[in-house]
Amino acid sequence: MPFTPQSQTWSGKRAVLLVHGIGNSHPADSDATLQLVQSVLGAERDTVAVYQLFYDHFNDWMVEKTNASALLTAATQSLSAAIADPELNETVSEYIGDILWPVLSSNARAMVREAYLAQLKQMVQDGEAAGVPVRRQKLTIIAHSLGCFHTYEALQHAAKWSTHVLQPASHEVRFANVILMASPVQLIRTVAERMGSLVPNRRWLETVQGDALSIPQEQRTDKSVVLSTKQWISITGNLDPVGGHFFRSRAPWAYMDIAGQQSIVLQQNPTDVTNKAELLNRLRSSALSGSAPTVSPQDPHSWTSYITQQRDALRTWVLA
Amino acid sequence: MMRASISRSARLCAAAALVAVAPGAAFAVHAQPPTVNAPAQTQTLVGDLLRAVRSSARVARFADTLPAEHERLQRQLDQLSRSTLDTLNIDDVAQAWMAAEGSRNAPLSRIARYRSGNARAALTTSEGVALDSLIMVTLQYVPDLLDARVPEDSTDVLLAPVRRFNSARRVESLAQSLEKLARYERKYGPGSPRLNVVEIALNYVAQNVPPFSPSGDGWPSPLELVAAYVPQYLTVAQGQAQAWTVLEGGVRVYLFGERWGRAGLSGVLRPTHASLGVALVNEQGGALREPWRGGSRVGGFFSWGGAKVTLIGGRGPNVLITRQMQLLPWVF
Repeated sequence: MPFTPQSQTWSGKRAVLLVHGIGNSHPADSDATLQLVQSVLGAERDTVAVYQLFYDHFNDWMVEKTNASALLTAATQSLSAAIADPELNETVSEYIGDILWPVLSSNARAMVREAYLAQLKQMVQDGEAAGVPVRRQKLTIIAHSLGCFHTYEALQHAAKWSTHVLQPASHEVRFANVILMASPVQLIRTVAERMGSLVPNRRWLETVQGDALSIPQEQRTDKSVVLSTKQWISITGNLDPVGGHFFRSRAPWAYMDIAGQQSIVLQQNPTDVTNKAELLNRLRSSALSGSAPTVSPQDPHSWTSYITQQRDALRTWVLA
Repeated sequence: MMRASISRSARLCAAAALVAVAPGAAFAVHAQPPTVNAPAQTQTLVGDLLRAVRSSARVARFADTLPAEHERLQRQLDQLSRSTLDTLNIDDVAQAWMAAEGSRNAPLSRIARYRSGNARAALTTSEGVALDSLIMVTLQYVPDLLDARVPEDSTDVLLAPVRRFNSARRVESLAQSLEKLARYERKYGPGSPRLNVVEIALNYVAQNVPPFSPSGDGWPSPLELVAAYVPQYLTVAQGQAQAWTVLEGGVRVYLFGERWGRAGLSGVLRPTHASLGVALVNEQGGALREPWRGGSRVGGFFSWGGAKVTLIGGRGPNVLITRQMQLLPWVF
């Protein structure tokens, strides 16, 4: 089934691209996220074209061709030993396993990146078709988890290669916002650096280039620099290991901290009991009813939770 | 609708008036419709683009604000002074530029000539480079300067022919991206040959070697290493049909052409892949025998899609046939 980028009719100047991450990158998983983002936009929802990027099938192709699930498991186990961090538990290793795939295969990486760039080109074209010059388009990317890695790779590539006609200065494609939620980009950089020459085709892996991660940019003829986005926003939670936090403690080797980024770290709770009063209420209810208190665990990596917690800010950024 | 139309006309008039008062404003005479808002069929010529660059630079007072960059712009304009250039269609030139896939220093002239089929009308190499630089310099600086001096709508009208060139290039670039993905699907998607564990290891290492790695801008390599232990070959030896085991080592080439890899008979004649390499069998032939033991016999194999033929030399040359398949994942 050939990849076809989503195309939409714009009724305003704004568009949002949702880039899914680990565990939610199939179309079936995405409806809830899409509806949530549309509800965040409220009355303005009809003036914002919302696109979604799905890329899981590319990884599926690679797994099928190489019967690679066992290989990934072995790599994950070896990594757990290589990164000598007592906080790196089994769950984290699983996340890393998902992240490893695009690092281990330069073809898988290139495929997803190309699909990403195709989607960006289609978005820009849709905007032009609606009579909005590229410079006037208000484009926002909201990415989650592994989607942040693909966003980083695609935007760095687009800023460097003029053949994609997506450069911020020469082609006027400058995003209003790039919002990365639970970004594993620094984590992947660390892992890839520790893997050394095991990472194939490193020169085209943007995440490991340079002295540090950086906001994608184009250098103009006078050597001045134009960033690919007006706002580079990182949102993570202090219990989210993919976002570089282990039990409320920030791990510098895993937390994405790019010069110029706006950083937001949410205070998260392992359960849905967020304060002492609420706990007391539940215990009282439990005592009265004679049943066990109802306490539900919270997923610190949930994309919908991030969006819900930041809904006001998101609305402001997208509609600015 | 009426209101929108009036508003657009007003914008056009405003932009035209703005340009007309600029000294030597050629754009006012040859003003194009604002193609940025127009359907794609509106034709824009290189001449329109050059006039738009001159006019917008004047209105933006580019020379006063950024003299060094303006000088750079002027140098490019001087190289594009041949009158026949004016009649080239921007869309054709943009398509031609993008056809130089993956090259940051696209030989614009060669490709433009190829596309237009008109050598006289095509660009020279230096003109191609100049046009590329001209658009880059214009859009890197002039929009900011214009926006600071005139309403945004006027900026957009003034720069429309320049932006049209980038839009046309982006259309071509999107087509290229989809072509890359179609090629990846042919190589890795459903129906592509599965790899055994040795091939996985070999191709993992080969990702670092340019003929086997994807190109910098994402074109997949058509090559894949083959190293297989194939127990399901058939041949006729000593008057009897026999199964033989063959050790193969070679390279598989994916055929990315548009007419290749279709369903049905066409797909048999023009498959998605072919392979070629060295074949090794046990001296005695036969099935499930170790080809590397004793006096091995050497030959060559060739596959065309799913069909594979091996010719083994030595005493009584043998022809072996089989189909490309993987019986046991990771093994053979």
